[in-house]
Amino acid sequence: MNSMRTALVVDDNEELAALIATMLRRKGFEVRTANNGLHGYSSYFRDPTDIVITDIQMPELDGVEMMRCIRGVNPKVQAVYMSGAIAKYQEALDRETSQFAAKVINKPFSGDALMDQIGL
Amino acid sequence: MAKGNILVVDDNPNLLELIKMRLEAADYEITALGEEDQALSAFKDKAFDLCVVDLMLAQSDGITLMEQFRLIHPDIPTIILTAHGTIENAVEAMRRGAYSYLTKPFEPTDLLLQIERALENRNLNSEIKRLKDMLHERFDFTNIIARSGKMRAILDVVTRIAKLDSTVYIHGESGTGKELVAKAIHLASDRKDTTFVALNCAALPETLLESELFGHEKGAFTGAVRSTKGLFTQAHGGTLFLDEIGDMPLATQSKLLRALQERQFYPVGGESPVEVDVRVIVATNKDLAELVKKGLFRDDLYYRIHVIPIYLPPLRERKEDILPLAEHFLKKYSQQMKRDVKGLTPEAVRALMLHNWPGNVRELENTIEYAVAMTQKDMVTDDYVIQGKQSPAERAGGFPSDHAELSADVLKSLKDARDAFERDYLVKVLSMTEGNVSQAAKLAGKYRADFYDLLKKHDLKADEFKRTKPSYQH
Repeated sequence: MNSMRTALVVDDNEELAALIATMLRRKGFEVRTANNGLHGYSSYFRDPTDIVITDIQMPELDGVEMMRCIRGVNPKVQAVYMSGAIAKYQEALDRETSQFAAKVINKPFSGDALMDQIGL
Repeated sequence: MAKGNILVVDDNPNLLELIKMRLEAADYEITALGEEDQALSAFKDKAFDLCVVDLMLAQSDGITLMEQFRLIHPDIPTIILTAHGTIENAVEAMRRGAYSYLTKPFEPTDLLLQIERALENRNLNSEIKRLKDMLHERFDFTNIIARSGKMRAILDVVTRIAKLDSTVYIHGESGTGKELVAKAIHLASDRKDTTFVALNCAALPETLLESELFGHEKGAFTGAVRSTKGLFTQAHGGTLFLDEIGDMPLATQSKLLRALQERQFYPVGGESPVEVDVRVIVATNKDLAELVKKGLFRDDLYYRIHVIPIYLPPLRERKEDILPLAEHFLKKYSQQMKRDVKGLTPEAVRALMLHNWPGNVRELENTIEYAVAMTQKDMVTDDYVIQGKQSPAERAGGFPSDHAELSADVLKSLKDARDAFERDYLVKVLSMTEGNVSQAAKLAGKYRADFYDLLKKHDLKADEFKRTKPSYQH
């Protein structure tokens, strides 16, 4: 009934990205990682995933801009933002949560809290 | 106001009442029924957001009822209540379209949570549907690629105003697709089966522009050997697109104004008026209001054409359109040139995304065309993208500088850069050979005939490079 669910984890903190990827793989996800917004977008563009879990403050393309580009490919993608609660992104995040049911989780967070947001 | 309208169907009246109370306490509007017929009737009458249905019902089963519901509203989320021990049925229910199931006995909070999730999912789905409808290729035939919110909003406007006859005023930087949008308006209008005529007002000198637009009588001016109809007449019943209208000379502006106001005009040198029924769309990359202030554009004409303004944002302000456009051009030129170019390398993607695109979509198209032609691999690499875009300093440092600082006249389009280089090269080689074309051609590695073509292209005359003999040599 289920095919493997796929996820893209985008964070410039490589260790954190790898950690989240491992947690997701244990739950049966097929996971790719990217270390900045631009890399994340091009990775998604080449091969879309069901879920994108992303940091916001990143070099080259921030998480919000990256998701805007990704939604240009597929508006249905489920997004979880890992936020440092910075004011300048608040408006964009509000729009993401209200229009696209995106989830926002504030740093620091526990692995369980993150899995909860993804619905696992 | 209720959070949602829910239909609950269960043949056990106690459980039914319990669920109803609990859900109503959570602010939902509940219709609770015990029989399938009643339920189906109610479902047809009222718009529900969600259904909660027991698996075991008096006449048939919950799954069958759910399927009947879904025939009417395919998107309605349904939660099935099953008795303990019928997991296979639950799985079957999911397979046949249930959103989820709950085994009795269940906690009311579990049901509430499922309902919340189901409704959230449904809202998301309708938003997606709305966005998909907008993204959907209604404009297939115009090849407009619009993934960004800004472009989708423009296509929305196009749909709304297309069937009106009002003049549309499109403005935006060069290369942003103004003619494409004009065509889209035409094709979405009632005039779609008639002509679409386009004229670039910057392309012709004043007298020719006037006769091009309004036609002329035989003998109206030198060279007018026969009468011609003019684009206004050609566009009769259809749409006329006037690009770069800011470049129209004042005299022609007056004539245009009268044609728009009176729906008739006089051909150059003509004595009888010609009636026209034309829908006009204009475009400009200039600030027309400024030109009006400077006295270069008539204010009465400006107000006449500035009826429905559409602003096309530059490509750098809608980066999410870059890759879809690049892919589109990649396919187009791969097919055209019969080259098997499959895609873009990550570095090429990066170069495309970080570039400022002063020439907008046209520049992007040229870049991809060039890259597809030149690449020796089956992917477009960043060298063919970056060439002509980086300054020497950037090339040395390997990292593009802050693109916001680069102004449009410093960075030329790739084509312009290539043309400039070509011209400089020709001048150099002609100077070296002192205007001797045969030698110059040989140096350049070209056949003489081809070399002459190049000279013609750049308006260069070999004679101008011949050294004039000093008088004492006579």
